[in-house]
Amino acid sequence: MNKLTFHYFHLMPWPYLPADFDEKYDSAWVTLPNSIYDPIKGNALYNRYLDEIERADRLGWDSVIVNEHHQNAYGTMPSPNLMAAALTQRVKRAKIGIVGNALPLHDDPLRVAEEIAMLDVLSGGRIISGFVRGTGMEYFSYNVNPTVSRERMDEAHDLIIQAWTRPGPFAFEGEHYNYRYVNIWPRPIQQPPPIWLPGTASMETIDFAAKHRYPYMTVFMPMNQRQRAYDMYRRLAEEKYGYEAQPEQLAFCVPCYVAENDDIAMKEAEQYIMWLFDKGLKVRPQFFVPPGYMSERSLKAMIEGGGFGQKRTFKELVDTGVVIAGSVDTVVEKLSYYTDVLHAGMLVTGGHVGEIPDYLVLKTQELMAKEVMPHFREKAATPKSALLERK
Amino acid sequence: MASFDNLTAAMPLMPAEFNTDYLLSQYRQLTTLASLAWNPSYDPTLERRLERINCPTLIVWGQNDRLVPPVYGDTFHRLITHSELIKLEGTGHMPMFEKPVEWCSVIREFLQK
Repeated sequence: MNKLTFHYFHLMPWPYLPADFDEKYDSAWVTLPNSIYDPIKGNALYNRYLDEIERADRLGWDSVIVNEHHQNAYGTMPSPNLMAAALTQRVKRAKIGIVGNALPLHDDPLRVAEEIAMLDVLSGGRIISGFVRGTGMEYFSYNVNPTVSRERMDEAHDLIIQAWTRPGPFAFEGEHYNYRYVNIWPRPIQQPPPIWLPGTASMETIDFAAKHRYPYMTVFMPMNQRQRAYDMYRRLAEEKYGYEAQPEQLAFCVPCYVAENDDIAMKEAEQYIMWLFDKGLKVRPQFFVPPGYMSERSLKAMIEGGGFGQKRTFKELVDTGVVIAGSVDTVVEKLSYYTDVLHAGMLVTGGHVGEIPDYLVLKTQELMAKEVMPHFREKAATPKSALLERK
Repeated sequence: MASFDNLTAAMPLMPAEFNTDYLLSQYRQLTTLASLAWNPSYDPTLERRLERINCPTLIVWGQNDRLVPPVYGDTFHRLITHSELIKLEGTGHMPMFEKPVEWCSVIREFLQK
């Protein structure tokens, strides 16, 4: 069995922010005027991103992943299922992840069940279905009451699982969702499609993931925080739910940049990856944690843990493990910490951030596939050059 | 804070120390508010229902109210037949804190009529 699987994650960001963005705008979310978005450039960008993801498939990544975000420059996929549909026609081998659909934002989660079922049939049973609550910002963009976010998440989850696996028609009666007839056509090939839960270490999400044995994915957080999250997952699995958590249940989403040597990697990565933290994730604090979105327990842990809103240098991000950048040897060493010390078995990372040119994305994709992946594969893979293979 | 026209009037409501407990208590209050009022529903029937009120009615509004601007007070006054509108100068949405003497005075006067 592979020690680590590799998942190519894309946000499809809008990198072309105005030169005065830092001074003029206090958030890349909710209120950033959409006049900044140029649909003509957007067309080229979408196609470039899809080409990039298709290349990751040819290079040997285990899956390609898209996700849902609304009304922001950080990620321009309000409907990730549309992108996944496009990918079913381009990605021939890898699994296709939607990590995930933001369930509480939708008044009709049966539609999510239907779309994922369609995608699973279209792709021949290659869909990974992530479920998320959506960021705090999206409760403003979609005007969903954040105080019922977790209730809606749990209920929509139950409905979708039943819709996929239970013979219909049947009635579903919940607090937030009611259907007289649940009877989806088509049904998914996988029974059910695998489910992942990304999170930012809130205790409730970790508990939910451990309870259902779903992979839990830590996102953009320092190593010590990831370690606490994994420890909590393992402890809950063992003590509360009676099983031993496996590495393939612990995923880590981390920006990862590989280059010829450490110096080049640090220099190139800093130039582009900082876009993610300084611009893409620039958010008004009140948007980040709307009232009732987090439990008091998780909010208290966040306040006392510090860090929110703190500006960090690129070196600090690398030193604390939020970002990985370096030569092949350095990256292998850092990933080995996840596999050997944290016993986490799924790397989720992407190439595109900010205005990074495509040749640098390709460089990282190829170095990861040809030089890094083999260290973690049971049998060394021999991916071919994406450029040579390109028709 | 947007409720206040004069921020010094809000001082008694401020904590001695901004610590975790205070932040959590604020979050708790906001959560309660959001659970009740995240989606305030616009009621298109209110206008015709207000006309049914026929008892003596006092409407007190802060002249500088930025949460619910005084034009709403004007409309309420126009639609409630036997209403009296008093706009208090130098106050926003919290006249009971910013102008407690005037606030009590106009209410007392109305009740004594």
